[in-house]
Amino acid sequence: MTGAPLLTVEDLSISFPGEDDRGRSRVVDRVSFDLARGGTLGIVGESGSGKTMIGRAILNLLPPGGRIDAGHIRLDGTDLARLSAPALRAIRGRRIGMVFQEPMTSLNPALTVGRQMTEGLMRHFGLSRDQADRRALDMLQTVRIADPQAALAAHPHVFSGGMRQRIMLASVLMLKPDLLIADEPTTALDAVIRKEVLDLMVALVRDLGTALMLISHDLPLIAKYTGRAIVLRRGHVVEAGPVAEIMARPRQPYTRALLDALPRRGPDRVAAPAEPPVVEAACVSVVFDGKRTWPWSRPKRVIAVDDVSLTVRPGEIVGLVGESGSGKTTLGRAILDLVPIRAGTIRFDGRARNAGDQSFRKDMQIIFQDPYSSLDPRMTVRKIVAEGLRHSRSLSREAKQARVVETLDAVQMPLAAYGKRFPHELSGGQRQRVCIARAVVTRPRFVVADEPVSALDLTVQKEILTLLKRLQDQMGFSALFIAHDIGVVEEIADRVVVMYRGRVVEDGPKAVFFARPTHPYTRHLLSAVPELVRGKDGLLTVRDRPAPPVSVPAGFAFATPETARREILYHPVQPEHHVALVAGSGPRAPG
Amino acid sequence: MSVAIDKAVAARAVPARRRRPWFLRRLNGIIGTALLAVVFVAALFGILWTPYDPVGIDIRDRLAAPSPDHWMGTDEFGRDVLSRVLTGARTSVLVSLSTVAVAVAFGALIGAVSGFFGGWPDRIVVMLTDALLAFPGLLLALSIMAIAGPSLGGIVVALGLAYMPNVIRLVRGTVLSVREKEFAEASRALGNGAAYTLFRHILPNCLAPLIVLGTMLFGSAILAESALSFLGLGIPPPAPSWGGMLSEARSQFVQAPWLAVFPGVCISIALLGVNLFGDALRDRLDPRMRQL
Repeated sequence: MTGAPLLTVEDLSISFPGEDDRGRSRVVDRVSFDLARGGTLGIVGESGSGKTMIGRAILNLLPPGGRIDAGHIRLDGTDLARLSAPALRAIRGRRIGMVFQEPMTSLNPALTVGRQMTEGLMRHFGLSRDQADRRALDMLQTVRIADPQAALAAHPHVFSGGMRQRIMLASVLMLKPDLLIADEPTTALDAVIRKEVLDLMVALVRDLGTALMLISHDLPLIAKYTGRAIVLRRGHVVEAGPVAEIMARPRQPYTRALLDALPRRGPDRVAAPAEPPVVEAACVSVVFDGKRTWPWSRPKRVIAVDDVSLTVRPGEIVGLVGESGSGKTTLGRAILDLVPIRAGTIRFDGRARNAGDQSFRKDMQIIFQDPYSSLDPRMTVRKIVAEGLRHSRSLSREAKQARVVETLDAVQMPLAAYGKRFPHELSGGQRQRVCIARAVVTRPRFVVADEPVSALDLTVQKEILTLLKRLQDQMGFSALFIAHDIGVVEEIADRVVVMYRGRVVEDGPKAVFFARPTHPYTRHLLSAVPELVRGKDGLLTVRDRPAPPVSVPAGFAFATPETARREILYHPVQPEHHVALVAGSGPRAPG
Repeated sequence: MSVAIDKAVAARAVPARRRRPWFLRRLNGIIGTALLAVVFVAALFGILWTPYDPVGIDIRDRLAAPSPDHWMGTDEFGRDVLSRVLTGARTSVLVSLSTVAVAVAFGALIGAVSGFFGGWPDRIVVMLTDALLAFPGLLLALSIMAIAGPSLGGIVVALGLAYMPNVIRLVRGTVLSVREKEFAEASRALGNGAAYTLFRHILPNCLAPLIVLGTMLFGSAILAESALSFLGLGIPPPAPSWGGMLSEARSQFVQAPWLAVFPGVCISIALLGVNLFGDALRDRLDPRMRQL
């Protein structure tokens, strides 16, 4: 580092009303770090580590009740923690910009994008509306928004999450701040879009000479985009230094646990293709009726799942990957008859499963993504799990009770300790365990796990994945594991199916699939998730995935949204590994 | 992320020692609870014991000012105003409670079924409630009473019908949002029937806003009952009711102001109590303030 650092944080302590002897509880405890002009710093930690509070304290934007107890936050020597409100306002936005996690709520839906972007320019630089508009237009071009002129006049709701985050980025960086604080800026986005937004952010920051403070729970992401990092745990700094150093030689057990929790390739298991499949979905289509323009007009149709076939064999975990809106969740729901299918058949154990048939329910269960909304807040853990056995008439009362006890033990939530608790008294991971218990209490033959870990912290995610694998070994159910994170699928699945815009574009057994990802979309997905490898020296490093060259048989092209009208053929790349093609020449594949 | 932290902070903010019950934690709750208690105690007296017969006429003691014998004075027929106020409290509380019970029971059922199943019955229910909501509740009750004639049961039915659209709309809206929660879907995935899912999982989660609305309706039912009785369409005389007493007091207002003041103050106390209590209840139960 040359010269004085831009930002120095010394012994920062933050507390909230709580229950220690003085009625306060510390969420950040004596944290110190500094950040050079134009430098990058990552702050890593799980929920409750206080990382968000540090970012907010710098701008004095702590939530109500929060207080800086001690310490200094110096920006070029000025102590921000002791600055008057007007002086602070001159610094917010102008010298320190902030990008928040939730792109859906951080733009004001009532104002046009242009008005929100120019607000800061007019306030801090005294530009006229015309000048400000021109600057905003330039900036929107820089963040690669298609048709920036129209974007200025549009309201935020017309943009997707990734686009909104770019707009946020543009409006913050337009003021050329000295420091950008990005608090989990891409956590709410899909992996592919996440990469695009972050790449853009880092490039812009570098060009402008802005220092970047990136706050995230995602260690590989921090490793990729920042030079130095601090690791936080319960308000304490447990590790600090260059990221490469932290990744390669973690000194603290907590950092090691974080690294171990990263998803990595699970062992290949031998499948038994001879056995008949448990679930067989053939040519399934799901169509939703959208909005009508007029009460009498036909509703717009949204094809969520388009002619998809999929099989799950006994004891197998099939990973279903795709971005949001790809139809993967809908397909999982359709197999369970939670949404009606428009065409196709679903067979379970060789028998056709008709809509409305309740006799399959016991054998097919589901685990949901959001552990905060998937449990009835007014029921206790015991009742939630016991409810699953309501329809198991063959079991006696005692047998049911025994089954509940056994299942809760299996998910490490013993009845004696947790049975009487309500969901709001449990952590996210514990709730997800209850969801799993509810799903497996009937000993189903097939379970749909719909993004069961994407709302959880990394270490908790690891626990839940381990638990799922163990239960699957013990109980022998088959599973359809739905995820947008291909890394998680790589860890747990035996076979991978990739969906894109309602269609399957590629599928294959894990080993061959990851050795030769073929479809451009698959490769795109993979490029967004760097692979974690342990080098010869035993050190962990992050590297981009290898992409061996692929070729398409003459006269065919990859099936992409542009070729949606043509019939799809599944071409065997390797044994059991298929990729979606169409006849004729397609547009040049992206990536 | 910030949500998770806020939750962690909120969890820590829960103190170990026992706190006062929620309705005594804030000033509005304390005052509201106290005033409501006064009204309910008065109603209890009205049921169990009054100093004089509320309809007993005593011509010798007409229009007596408040005195140790008659704390609130007597009216033009020599009836004791305190006894009549206490009995009026009984009438008001009973009528309002029954009204709320009718409106909530039927409204919640219709709203829940309509919102949960949707389709054309739902559309009809929405159209009807919208149409009913277009009339002021009191006007609607007034026309029903005008047709049915004044009676106690009539008031309950009329006000119950007038308030039902509010309940239907609230419950239907809440059901629509709770229905989309994953635990409702989980119930379907377990093979539970629609009625079970609706009554076991969805309706209990609509209770909080419903209780708040019920409290508010209780207040407005007290006012509406008084207004109907004032107009002569409510409790048939000579049975005492606050509105009826106000109406009778009009002609003697200059000579005997106590005739109007005491029932008027009672109506104010009851309404103020209900509204303050309802505010405190809303602070406590409002789903927007609560984390599911």
